[in-house]
Amino acid sequence: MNEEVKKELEELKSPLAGSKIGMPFGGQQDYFAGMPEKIASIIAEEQTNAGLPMAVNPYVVPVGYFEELPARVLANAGRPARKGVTITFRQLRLAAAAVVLLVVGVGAFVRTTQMGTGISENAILANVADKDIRAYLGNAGAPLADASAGRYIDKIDVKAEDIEKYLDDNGWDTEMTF
Amino acid sequence: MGVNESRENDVELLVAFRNEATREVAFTRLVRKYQERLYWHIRRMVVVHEDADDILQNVFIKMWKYLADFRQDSGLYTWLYRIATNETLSWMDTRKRFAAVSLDGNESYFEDRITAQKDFDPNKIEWKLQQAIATLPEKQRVVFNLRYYDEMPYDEMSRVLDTSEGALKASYHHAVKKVEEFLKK
Repeated sequence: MNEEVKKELEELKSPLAGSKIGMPFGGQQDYFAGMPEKIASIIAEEQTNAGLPMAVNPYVVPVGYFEELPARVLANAGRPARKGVTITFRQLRLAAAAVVLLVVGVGAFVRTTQMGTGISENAILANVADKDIRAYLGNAGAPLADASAGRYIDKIDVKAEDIEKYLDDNGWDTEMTF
Repeated sequence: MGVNESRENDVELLVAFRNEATREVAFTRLVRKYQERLYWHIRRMVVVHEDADDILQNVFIKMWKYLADFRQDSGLYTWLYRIATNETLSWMDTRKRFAAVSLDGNESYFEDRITAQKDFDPNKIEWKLQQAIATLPEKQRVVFNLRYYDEMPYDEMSRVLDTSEGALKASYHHAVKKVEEFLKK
């Protein structure tokens, strides 16, 4: 055992510090003798394989053979060949994008229309004079003083409770009594 | 043969290898020079001869492919040990993935390989020592083998394993203690 390694093990008070314990594995007879030749033959084989020409197909196919093949097969089967429609991936993507845009557009239109109705009802009520509303609530169905207001109120389907809520939110005239 | 003399021979062999006309002769001499040391370095890690043989062949094939570009920043001996160690550890990683066993710590994978060896005798100290080494984490096992069997100086080992000498000493001392504990059982 190397003195340095032995001294180190002695400092560690290790039982390994005595004579070196050998390797128990059995070697293969003549294994090392043939090693360089063995490696050389592997390398030679690799180089031989590396030297092979690229896998090029030496055969040629008549021009248009594959394009015409389905039609010819169908013709031979006794049916007229149908001209197939080829959809490319790009066309498929464009079609999908158009569908998405259409759905988003319809959704936005419906939403805007619904929101618009709500705004217009509030706007109409804001334009009606309190006295006209009072008169309407007091005399349901009686003609309104302001023809334009009557036109508005007749046009919209508003319940009396909704009008009361509107006045709660926007303030009642102090003179108003029922 | 001293280390310096060995290095001078390596330089001569390297020059011969770079010459197309003498390449194969130089290669054969290099294989003959390093094959046993590298073989045992690998075999102690993987236990089974066939696996050691596969890994050793890969090491020399890499030497053939890349030796012409070897820059001599380190000695050829260090460079070859590095390749052999990396090849062995990556073989163990692959085996770990495919066998779905952990090669760290106390797994029995390598111990089983040892007990399956021809002539295995659990009463003989050399076999017990192999069983003890097999319980070490794989990098600690490399350090123990390089120091105990190959008697490699720490500075050389530091270049092979790209680890500081202090860390290698600590690793070796831990390994020695663990081996001792195993042998006392």
